Amino acid sequence: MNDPKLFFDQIYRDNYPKVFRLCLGYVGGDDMAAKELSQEVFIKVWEHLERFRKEAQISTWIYRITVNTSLMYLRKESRKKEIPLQEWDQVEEESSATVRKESQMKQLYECINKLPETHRTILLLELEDVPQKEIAEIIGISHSALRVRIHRIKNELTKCVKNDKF
Amino acid sequence: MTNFEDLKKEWSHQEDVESPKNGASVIIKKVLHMRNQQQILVAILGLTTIILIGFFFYVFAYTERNATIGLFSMILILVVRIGAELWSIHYLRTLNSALSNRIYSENIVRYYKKRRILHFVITPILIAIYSFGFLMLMPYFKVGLSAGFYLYIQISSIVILLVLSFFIAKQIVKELNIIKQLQLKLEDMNETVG
Repeated sequence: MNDPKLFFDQIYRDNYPKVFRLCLGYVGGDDMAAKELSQEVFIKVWEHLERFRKEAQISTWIYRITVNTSLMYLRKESRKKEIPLQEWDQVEEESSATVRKESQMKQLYECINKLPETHRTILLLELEDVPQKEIAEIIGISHSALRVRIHRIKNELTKCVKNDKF
Repeated sequence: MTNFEDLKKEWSHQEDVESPKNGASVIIKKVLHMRNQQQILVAILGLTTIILIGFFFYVFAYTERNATIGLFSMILILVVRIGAELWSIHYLRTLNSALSNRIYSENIVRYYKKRRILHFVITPILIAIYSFGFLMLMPYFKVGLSAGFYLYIQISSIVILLVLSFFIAKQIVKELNIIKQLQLKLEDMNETVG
């Protein structure tokens, strides 16, 4: 695709949902913040598009930008990583099945936010079903080093969710 | 939810978000707007410098040695400091975000270490030269201005210096904190590799 605008449009449509979901994980489920952050990510994608080399997978390339932008975004504003209480109060008024699902997600977001930064990134990419080799590449560590750590991170998260269970 | 696979299932069952309509063109417009804003900012700063230099000649400051030194040092320091800030903004914006998180974090640490030199070495020197320039002009203010306005300039200059120092200190603390956090993170990554 020779037209960079068309190429970018394609990238945007194909990748927005997964970028948004990843951002949502970084901002503790805050919808508005995730939208703002996703926009920042795609601004970077557009600005870096000329540097994109076809030898890398576009998804890996976008994930790298998402991870780096998210971590700087959280630092820049020292944003609250927890979900605003008001938002979760609204959830209470919805149907019980939705409430249960939403409260499970709330728990999950809370536990993700308790993890150290690198662990959080590894975990969010693992939840997105990104292959481990790709996760290692995004983080910048060896595949074997990632394998050693990933099991522990999964356990940490599962334990946290179980302990916080209502 | 009991094990990780359940959590993963829960995660993947989240409601799918649709890409905003015309989202890509909105982003492109936003980038253009940001670039225009930057150009406007540079133009305003350039114009301010020209006005200051114009003022320098308008009041015949160059006929008095001390006034020349005073005014010229103040203008120079403003230009240098603003230039350094613009460089910082540009450097951070153009930093390659598509690198691995480890290399990106290292680059960010390098960037903030450069900023540390700016804060701890360059800025105090600039403030000292700026204050020196200002003090050189004081006798001219005393002669040319009313007693009340002269007093106002004396007091406000101290207040401005204090307020400015407070904001610079706040920014330094914030940036030092970022360096500390990133270094801890990099140490953690090194442990993983090792």
